[in-house]
Amino acid sequence: MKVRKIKAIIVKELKELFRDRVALVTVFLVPILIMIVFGYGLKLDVKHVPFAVLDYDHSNLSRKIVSEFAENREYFKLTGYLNSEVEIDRVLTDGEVRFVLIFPFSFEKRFKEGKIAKFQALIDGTFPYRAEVIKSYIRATVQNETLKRLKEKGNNLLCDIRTRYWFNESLNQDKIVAVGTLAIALLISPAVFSALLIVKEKESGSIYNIYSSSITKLEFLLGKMVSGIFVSFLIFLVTLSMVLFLFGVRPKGDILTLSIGTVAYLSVAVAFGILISSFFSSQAAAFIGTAILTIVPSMLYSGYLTPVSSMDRGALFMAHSIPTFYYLRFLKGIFFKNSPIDYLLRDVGILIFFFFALFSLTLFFFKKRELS
Amino acid sequence: MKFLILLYKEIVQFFRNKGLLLFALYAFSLDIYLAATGIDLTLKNASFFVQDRDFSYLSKELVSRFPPNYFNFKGYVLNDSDIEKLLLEDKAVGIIRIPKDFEKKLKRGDKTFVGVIVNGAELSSSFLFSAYASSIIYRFLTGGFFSPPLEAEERIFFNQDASSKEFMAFSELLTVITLFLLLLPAAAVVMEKERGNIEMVVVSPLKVRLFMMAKALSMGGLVVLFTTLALVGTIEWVLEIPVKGGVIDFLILTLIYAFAATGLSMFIAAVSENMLQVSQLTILVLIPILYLSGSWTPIETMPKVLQWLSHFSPLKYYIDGALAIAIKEVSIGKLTNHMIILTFQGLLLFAAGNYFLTKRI
Repeated sequence: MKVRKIKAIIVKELKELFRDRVALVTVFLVPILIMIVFGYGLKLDVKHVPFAVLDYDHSNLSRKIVSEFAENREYFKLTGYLNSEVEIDRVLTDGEVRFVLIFPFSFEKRFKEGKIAKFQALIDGTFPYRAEVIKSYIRATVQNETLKRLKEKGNNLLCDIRTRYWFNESLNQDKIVAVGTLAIALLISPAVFSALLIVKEKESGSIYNIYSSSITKLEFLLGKMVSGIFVSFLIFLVTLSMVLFLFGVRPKGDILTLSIGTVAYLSVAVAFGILISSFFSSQAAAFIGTAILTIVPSMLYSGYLTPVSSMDRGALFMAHSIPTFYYLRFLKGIFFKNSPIDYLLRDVGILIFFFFALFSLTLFFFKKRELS
Repeated sequence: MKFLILLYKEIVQFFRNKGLLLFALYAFSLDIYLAATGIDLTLKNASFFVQDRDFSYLSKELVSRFPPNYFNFKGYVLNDSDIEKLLLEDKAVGIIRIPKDFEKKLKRGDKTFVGVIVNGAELSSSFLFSAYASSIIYRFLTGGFFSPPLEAEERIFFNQDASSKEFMAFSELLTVITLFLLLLPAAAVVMEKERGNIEMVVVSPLKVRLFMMAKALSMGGLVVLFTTLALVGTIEWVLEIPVKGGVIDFLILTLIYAFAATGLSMFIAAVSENMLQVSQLTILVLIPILYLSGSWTPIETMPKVLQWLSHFSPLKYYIDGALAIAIKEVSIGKLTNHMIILTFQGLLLFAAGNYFLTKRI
């Protein structure tokens, strides 16, 4: 193995990228855009929920409850009163409101008689998570009202609930999203970039220069790999500074460990792209394949959106077979939990194993000749 | 006639590209299946442990009130260091703590508390866990001592059990459709650029505009074909999710949307010289229109400027309309507004993209 030959490949790749202005700008713009759009945009908290009321009772109590909702401006927005059941269907179907409160006849009367006074809340279930959050808001509002009424009657509830959020004391979801998005961006961008590294030479025919030269396939692949990792590391520096300064997330662990783990993860992403690249002979196929194979599993199964602890067996198996799961655990450990070093190194070790597995596969399948 | 031959050429070329065909099939089948079955943003089987220092009838009764569909009771923990370890290893979403003499104090009328510790490093489940846990605890306490005078009966419309399966399946399908509509025409055009075929077209009697239009239309047609396969095969047959408003209605809307998306794709093709640029630009266009569509973040939660901008995202009308057809059982006749706006955007983008692309060559 000659270092000089590897270096030649690296220099060639970097020159090619730095000469191609559009590509150079977009390669960095994509991860920046991912960070901004998902970091700021992925708000799972639901606010200003529009709702309407159908009040058959027209009583003081029903009006009181509606105003309790309407005054909570941060969460609810009253759009108006409805006149009949037919309208409920219309406003929910058109998406004008997300829920409708319905007060039946003699709602107040039942309450005054000491019976349970029930009213209905119809929630649009098109977006299930939003529906569940809205449901919990409605419950909380009703409970507050109940407690207030009990207090008026002199029945104090002598038990509070003390809620504490660990690792993220103010439950600032933006910080979790920013760190999670870092894991996603650092997979997609490097993998998509590397996915074209070999196949572009196949399409243009310049791969024949490689086939006929004295460079070995190990040297060739290492050259491609290192140039991919180099570009990815620059992407990491840009996105990390966004996390630190733009989103204001300060890691509880140290930056050196973070960088070591990240290089391992970037190597996995690049190795995956190059594996795809060595398999296919069309750039379009390599790109779309890499995009689909990386985006969906890493967003859905890594613990980015849903907790790993509530996955069923099949999903848990999926989670453990994708590198983003380990990297995300590593990132959360460094940024939020200040996990002990052996926890962190375990994840880095697994990532290095992934890298060697993917790289050996590429080495095995890549042939320095045309497959007939 | 010339046009038909061009269309035929594009379609044959697509099917000869085994890699592309393979990934298209994967994206419209297994990928949607994985997204639909793998993830549930709502609280499902949230693992929790209990640190019970009271071990009384009431404390055990309280734990039994956590419904198994939402929560998953994993066991008891003894000391605080175990709690830390459980949360560190992501073994639990939350911990419920019941202090000593909980039952005694409640019965005597002294003040006491129930602790809820939530793993704040989880995104979707941390809020729902604490909200549901508080609601269950309050209900238990008020129900046990006084009858609650007020009660809201919640009913979830269109999707009674609030399962994420339908939503995830359709939103993944819409994303995949957009990805392919953006990429395929641009890739087809840039491939000709890279190989130098474009020069031949320029000197031939063939009109460049016609040549480009054939690419956009054939690729749009292919995506609609794959959408049909996904709707009938993956969604209705394998996942057993009915397309409530009808497959045909869904496809008509998709067809109109295809004009808008392939129009954008031609813009990408116009500025790109090689596939690296196409790939990066595709993602660059895809992400904002995905975001502005409102499927990640409800539009009413976005900042005002973005709310206003979202009216320009064709995907917003497409997603709104498609979800209404698929989940809310609306027929396409009732979506005239969506159709008009989408048609308008589609024609505009398609014509502009085609013009721009032709001019650049």
